[in-house]
Amino acid sequence: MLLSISFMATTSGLSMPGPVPVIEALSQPVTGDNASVDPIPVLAYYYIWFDAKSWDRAKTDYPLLGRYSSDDVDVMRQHIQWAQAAGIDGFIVSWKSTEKLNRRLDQLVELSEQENFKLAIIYQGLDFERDPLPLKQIDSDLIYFIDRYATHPVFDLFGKPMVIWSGSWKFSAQEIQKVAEPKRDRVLILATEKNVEGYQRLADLVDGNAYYWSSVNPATHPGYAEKLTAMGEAVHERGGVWIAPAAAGFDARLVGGTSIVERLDGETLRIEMDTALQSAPDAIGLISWNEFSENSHIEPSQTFGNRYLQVLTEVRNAPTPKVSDFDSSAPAGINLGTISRFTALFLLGVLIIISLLKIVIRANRMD
Amino acid sequence: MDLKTLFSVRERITQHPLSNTPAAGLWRNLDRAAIIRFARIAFVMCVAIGLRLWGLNQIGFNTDEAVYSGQAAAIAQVPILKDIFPVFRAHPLLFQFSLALLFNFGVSDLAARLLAVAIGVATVYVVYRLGSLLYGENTGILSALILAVMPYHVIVTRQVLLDGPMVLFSTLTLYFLARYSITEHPKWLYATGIGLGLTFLAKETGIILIGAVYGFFALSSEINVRIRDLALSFFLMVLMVLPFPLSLMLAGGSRVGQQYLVWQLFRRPNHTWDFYLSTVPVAIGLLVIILAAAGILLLRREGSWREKLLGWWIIVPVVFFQLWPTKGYQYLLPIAPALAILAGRTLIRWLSLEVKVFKRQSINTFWIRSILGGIMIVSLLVLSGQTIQPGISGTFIAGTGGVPGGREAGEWIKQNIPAESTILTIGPSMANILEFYGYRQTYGLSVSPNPLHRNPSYQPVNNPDLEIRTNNIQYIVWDSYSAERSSFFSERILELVKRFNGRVIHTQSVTVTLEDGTQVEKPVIIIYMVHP
Repeated sequence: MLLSISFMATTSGLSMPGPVPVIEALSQPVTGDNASVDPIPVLAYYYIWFDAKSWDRAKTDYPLLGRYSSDDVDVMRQHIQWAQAAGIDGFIVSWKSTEKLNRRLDQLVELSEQENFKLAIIYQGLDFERDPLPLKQIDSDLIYFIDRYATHPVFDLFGKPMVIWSGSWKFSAQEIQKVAEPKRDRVLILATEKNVEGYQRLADLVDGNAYYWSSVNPATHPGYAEKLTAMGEAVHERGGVWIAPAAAGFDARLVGGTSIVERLDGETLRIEMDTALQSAPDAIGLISWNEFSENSHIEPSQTFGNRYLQVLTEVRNAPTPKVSDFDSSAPAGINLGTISRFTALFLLGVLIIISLLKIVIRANRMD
Repeated sequence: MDLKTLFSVRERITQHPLSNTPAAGLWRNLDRAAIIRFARIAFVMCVAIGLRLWGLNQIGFNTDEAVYSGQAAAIAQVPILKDIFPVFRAHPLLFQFSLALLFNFGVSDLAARLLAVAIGVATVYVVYRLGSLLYGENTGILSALILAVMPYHVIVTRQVLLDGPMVLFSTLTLYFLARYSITEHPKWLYATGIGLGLTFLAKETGIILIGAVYGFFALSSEINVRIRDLALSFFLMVLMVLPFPLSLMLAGGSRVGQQYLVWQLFRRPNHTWDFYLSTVPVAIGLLVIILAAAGILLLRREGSWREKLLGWWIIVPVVFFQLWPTKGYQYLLPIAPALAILAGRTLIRWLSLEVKVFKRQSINTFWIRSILGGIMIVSLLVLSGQTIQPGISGTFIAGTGGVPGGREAGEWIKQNIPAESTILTIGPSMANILEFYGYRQTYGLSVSPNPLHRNPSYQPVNNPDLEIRTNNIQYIVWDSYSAERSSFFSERILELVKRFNGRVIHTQSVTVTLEDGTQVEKPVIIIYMVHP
């Protein structure tokens, strides 16, 4: 159970716009000990770039935890606990090497280890103007990451830590190869291509693909499901890891976007989760935990409360169909098997013998 | 021509020429009675057929259905399947041979289930004949109707299981036995022996009914049995049974037979002692059981060998399988026809009730019987309807008997992965299903290397790491059904997936309806390709 009231006390020092509503506990958190919960991990894109001032720019909704700083350890811990309770297995952390982000990543890694939570990295290969970062910087950032975390257990999702190269479509195959090739024995490097052709361009140079498709409207986009399935097949043909996207909604008009995808009270999230699953993903990339500028966040917020964690919990907790006597050989109960088995046979034998005797005696009398 | 004229014309045409002679009148009455009788039994049969066909093949086979159909395919020499499924496994092969005849025209799960349905419907007819023989036409009709709508019988006879055929032959045996008891003509005793033999050939557990036959004769002094006839009847039963051990021996499968015997005798219990108590009475219908028992008391004055016969047919399987530690939902099915007849008898023959309020008074029970009978039939019908409901609601897969997603995953495998591939699943149950639909060799990780702890049909994978490293296994399948039963082997198989860079190549989901009515896709089977 999520105890939000006690948490409110610990965050009372944060800058908040007003009284914080109490978040209702998720009634049936998804637990790891439920063996029938499917083993396809759900990983939410997670941003650690927030300062108190970040909330003044291009936001229409705010976290229920207040206008937090990503430095706040209590906020991070609460995020992890909420995410776990809703069935999220880990975060895909947006990162590139800066002093601030490195500090926050360290903190997140430490907390994740404590909470038995998984992490992957989405490396921000493009700058604020959406231009590619210099290769040298990318190279040194990834070396920093590998040296620091390559063997850390929180990154152990697919055998090796997973690094998603955001904006891979802006780089040539030679550039990707130059940076990725020497590192692929330590980490999995995934492209973020937007279609099959894009992935095939890099297929031999990367370990898979994670498509960040936050703006798709499942109700109106023709061939949405087919596109994801085709991408999944293309990636798996090369033995790669396929991270399929699923979002709760989208509205980035304040940061230059034009399209809006309505949330429809969770229907969009449900459809996108279903569609992502149909593409046979190795993991679902949930867009997003806290991308408030694009309004794709599922983190409890002033506008939506914890509605989207509830929806996610329902989806993840959806009951597995039960089949009675599925495995009729499965043992159960106390092992008195042999004794009662011979008792049954013995009694049957006794019944037959006594009955036969009686029949014979009666027949003789008749004669 | 007005209505009045029309009636008078028809009267002239149909009545007058016939009603002039007594013989013609009798013929007409008999004809009407026959038509009514035919209409009543036709109605019962239609109900039986309808309930068993409704949404029959919406979900693919469960593991037992896959095994029996796989055996039938092996007998029919269906390529690939004949190499995957051994002909000889735990049970005799009468039903599988019948199924093989169908599979000569092509392997089809629908055809197999239609055969099971036909056998179930035939049992309903035999119950009609048996009920009529013992207690009259009305009891026969009502008993057949009870069995036609009984969820226990409906559920089992919609599946490709051996219990349906076994119950057909055991009920036929009961019918022969009743005929013998009425006529004391030896031919019916011989037929009883043949019936018991067929019961065994359908499923070997049916042989316990020999205890019911002898127990009945022993306690029914009014039935005369000659030892010579009884011995000949036993001989005929043995003669019927003989082809099975002989064919097993000739095919070199006697060692397999011994292994099965050892396994059956020493395997661990698969359910707790209260398994039948908690599952079977509701499926039979509580009212059916209550009425059957009440009839024994209320109609004790007209008690005869008939109740003893039906009683033995119930007591022997119940006691035996309650003691027998390996339990299965359908094992008690042979008692269903006897219970249906006893319940039908109570409703038809319990004519009056004596009340001692002021003075001893006898009241007509027609309305009580009608209401009880109506409630019973409607409740059984509703329960059967619910259990075979198409679609999956909440956490309960109704008695459709199948495994949701199994067929679709198997067919995907058949179409998408190379022919010589080998697959590893969590347990043998899913392996059977994927083998039947996927035509690929599949092993279960949970199969014990200890022969005493495994079904001899299954081959263990002693060192899965080695098998994957040496590329003998290329695909791993996780499924939620097996995972729920064994979290240990679920975790082990996922460890193998991780260790050998398993990548999801197919996700089989089923649509489940949540409490609020929304529908979501739930992954139930996930196929990984491993990369050692």
